[in-house]
Amino acid sequence: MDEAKAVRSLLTRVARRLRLWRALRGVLRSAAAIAGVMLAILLAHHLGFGRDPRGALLLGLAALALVLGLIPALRPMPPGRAAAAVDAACALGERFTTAAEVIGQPGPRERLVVRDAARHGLRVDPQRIPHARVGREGWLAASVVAAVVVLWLLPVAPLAGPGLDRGLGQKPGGVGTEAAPPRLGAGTVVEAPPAGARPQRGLLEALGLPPQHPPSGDGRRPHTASLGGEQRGAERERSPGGGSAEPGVPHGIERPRLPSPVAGPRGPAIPGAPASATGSSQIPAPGESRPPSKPASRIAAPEGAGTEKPGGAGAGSETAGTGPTLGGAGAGRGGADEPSPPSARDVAKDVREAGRPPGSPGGDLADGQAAFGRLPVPSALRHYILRYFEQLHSRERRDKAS
Amino acid sequence: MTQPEKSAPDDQDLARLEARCERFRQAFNRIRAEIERTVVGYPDIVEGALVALCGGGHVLLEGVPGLGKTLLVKSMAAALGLSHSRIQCTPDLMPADITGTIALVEEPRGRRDFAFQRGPLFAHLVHVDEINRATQKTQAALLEAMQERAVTVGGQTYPLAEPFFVLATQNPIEMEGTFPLPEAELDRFFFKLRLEFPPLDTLVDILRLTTGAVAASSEKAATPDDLSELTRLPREVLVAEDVYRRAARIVRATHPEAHEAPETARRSVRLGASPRAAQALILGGKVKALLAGRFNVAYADLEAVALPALRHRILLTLEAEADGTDADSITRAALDGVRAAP
Repeated sequence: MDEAKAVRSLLTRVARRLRLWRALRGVLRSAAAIAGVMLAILLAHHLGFGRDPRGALLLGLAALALVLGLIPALRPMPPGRAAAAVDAACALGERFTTAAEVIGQPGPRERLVVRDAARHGLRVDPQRIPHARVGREGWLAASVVAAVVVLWLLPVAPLAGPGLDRGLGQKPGGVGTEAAPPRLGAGTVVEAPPAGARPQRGLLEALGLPPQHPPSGDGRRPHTASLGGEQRGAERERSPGGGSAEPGVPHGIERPRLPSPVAGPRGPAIPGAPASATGSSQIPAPGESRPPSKPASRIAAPEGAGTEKPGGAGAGSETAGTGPTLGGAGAGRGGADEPSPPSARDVAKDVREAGRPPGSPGGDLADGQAAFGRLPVPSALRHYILRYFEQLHSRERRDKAS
Repeated sequence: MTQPEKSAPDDQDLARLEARCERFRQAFNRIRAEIERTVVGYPDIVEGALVALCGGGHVLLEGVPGLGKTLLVKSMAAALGLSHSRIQCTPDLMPADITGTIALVEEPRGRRDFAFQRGPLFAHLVHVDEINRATQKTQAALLEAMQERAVTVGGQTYPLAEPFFVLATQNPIEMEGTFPLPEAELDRFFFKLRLEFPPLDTLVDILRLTTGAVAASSEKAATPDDLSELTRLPREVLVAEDVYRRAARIVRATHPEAHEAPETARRSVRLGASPRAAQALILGGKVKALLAGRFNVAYADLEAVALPALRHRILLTLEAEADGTDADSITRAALDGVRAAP
C-alpha cells in the first residue's frame, strides 16, 4: 500500500500545480478579455467620447477578471487529469493514467500497475509539471493588458466636456495637416466639465505660464463661437484681421501672425502650414489681385498693409491694417471703439510676449510651441491644446455672463 | 498481525504475475530470435506475426514471390513446436479440399464406413499461399474457419487446433485471374504485413545463409506452457479508459464522415476501419505493452500496431488510388490528428 500512497501523493501534488496553472491561465484569459473592454473604453475616452472611466469602474473590472479567472481553479482536478499530465510530461507510457483508475482496487494486476507507476514516479519531479509555456494566446493577452496600462498612464485630453464631444463629430478641418480639431458651431454653448470629473490641470499651469483670469471689464467682443452665423459674418467684415474664420480652426484660437513688411520681419510663419491652414481671410485687400494658383504666397509675401504692431496688440488695425493677417491676438480688441481695460487674458499674453524669443510666431499656439521649446508637437497633442484654449475662452465668456 | 498475514498471499500473487510477465517476454524473444535465424532481414515482419499470434489473430502477408513467406511459416512452426500445413490456392480449389470431407473408409476389421477426413486446416499453423487465387467460395470457407475456429462438415462441427494461426499470402503485382478478397473477409485478418524487397546487406545475408552447404533451420524454442502463456497473458493486461478512447478515436478518424477524420481521410476514404480494427489495436497494444515491460497499454502501443491493423481495413476511393494515396498515409494522418487533438 506504500506504492498507492506514493502514487496518490504525487498525483495530489501535480493536481495542485495543475490547478494553479489553470488559475493563472484563467486569470490571464479573463484579464485579456476584460482588458479588451477596458481598452475600448479608454480609447473612446482618449478620443473624447464618454466620461472618465478610471477609478472604481476599472478596479471593478480588474477584480472581475481575477474572480473569473479563479473560478476554474476552484473546481476539483480529477486524478486522471493529473495522471495524464504526469504521463505526458515524463513519457511514462500511461502508467499513471492506468494506475489512477485502478488504485485502491484489489488484485495482483492492479497492484502490479500501481507498483510499476510508483517505481517510475520516483524520477518524476512535480515542479516540472506542467510545462509552462506562453503561447500566442498568452502573448496576445499580455499585449492587450499592456496596451491598457499604456493608455491608463497616458494623459487624457485636458478637457473632455460633452460640448466638445459633440464638436468631435464635425467635419475635420485643418490646423496643420493631420489634426482634426473639433469645431464649435455657431451658437454652441460649451458646457463645463461634469461634476465629479477629474480636475484637469491647465496647460499653462503645466507649462509654468501664468494662469488665465476672468475678464475684468466690459466692452470686449464676444467670442465668435457663441455668435450666430450672420453676426459672426459681420464680425469678420468689421475686423478682417481678427478671429479665425477659416474652416476647421476653432474660433477664438489665435493664429501666428504673418511677418509684416511694415512692422519688420517677425520670423517665419508656421513651417509647412498649407494654404488652407493659414487662416487667410477670403476677403482680399482693396486693390489686391490674388493669384488663385498661389494662395499660399500670401504667407510668404503678404501684400497689402500689414500694419499690425509687432506686439500683436492690433490697436488701430481696423483702420490701417486691411491686409489678410492671420488672426492677430489683438483682434478681439480691434473692434472696440473705446479702449477698454485690459483683460486678464491680455495681461497674460503680454507677459508671454515679453518672454518670447524674437522671430517666434505669435498667438497662444505660438506660446505653446515656444513653451515646448520648439519641439515637434504631435498632432493629437496639438489638437488637445487647441481644445484647451477653446474651453478657456468659453469659460471666460461664461464667467463674464454670470 | 492480521495485515501481514493477509498481505502475504497478495504478495505471492503479485510475484507470480510478475514472473508470468517475465516468462512471456523471455519466450517471445526466444521464439523471435529462433525465427530470425532463418528469416533474416525482416524483424518487423517476424514480430508482427508473433504479435498477431499472441493476440489470437491471423496475418495477411503481402509481397512479391520469393521473399521467404513460406520460410517464415515453417520457421514459426519449428520454433513454436507446432504442426503446420500449406494450402496452395488455385481457382479449382474447393472448400472440401481445405476443410476436409466425409469419405468411405475401410476399418482394420474390414468394415467400411463413412468417416471425416480432416483437411489441411487442421493444423496449428496454416500457410495459405496466394489466397486471392482461390475462388470466393473457397475463400469464404477458409475465412469462416478462421473466424469460428471450427469447420462444419455434414452437419458435424469439428473444432480446429489451438492455437490456430493462418498466415495467408497474396501477390500484389500479378492480379490477373485472381479473386480479390472482399472487404468483409479482409477484416478477418488481424494484421496485414507488407514484405518489401530487402536492402542490399540483407540480401547478401540471405544469400550467405541459403546457399551454403548446411541450410539454416529453426529449432523448437517454446514449450506448450509458453504457448499457452503467449496467448493468454495479453488478455489480462489492463487498459485505461483513455486508452480505450484513444483506440476508438483512431478508428473513427479513418471514417470520412467522422469529425475526427483528417482532411486526407475525408477526401480519400470510401470506407473506414471496422470495430475489429479497434480490437486489433487493443490486443496488439497489449502484447506490445508486455514486451515493453508494462502491464498497461500506452498510446505508443496503439500507434505501434496501427499501420498493420488498419491498412487492410481502409478502403480508398478510386480517385485516391489513382493519385497514389495508400491506406498507410491515411492511417498516419489519423494518428497525427488524434495525437494533436486535446
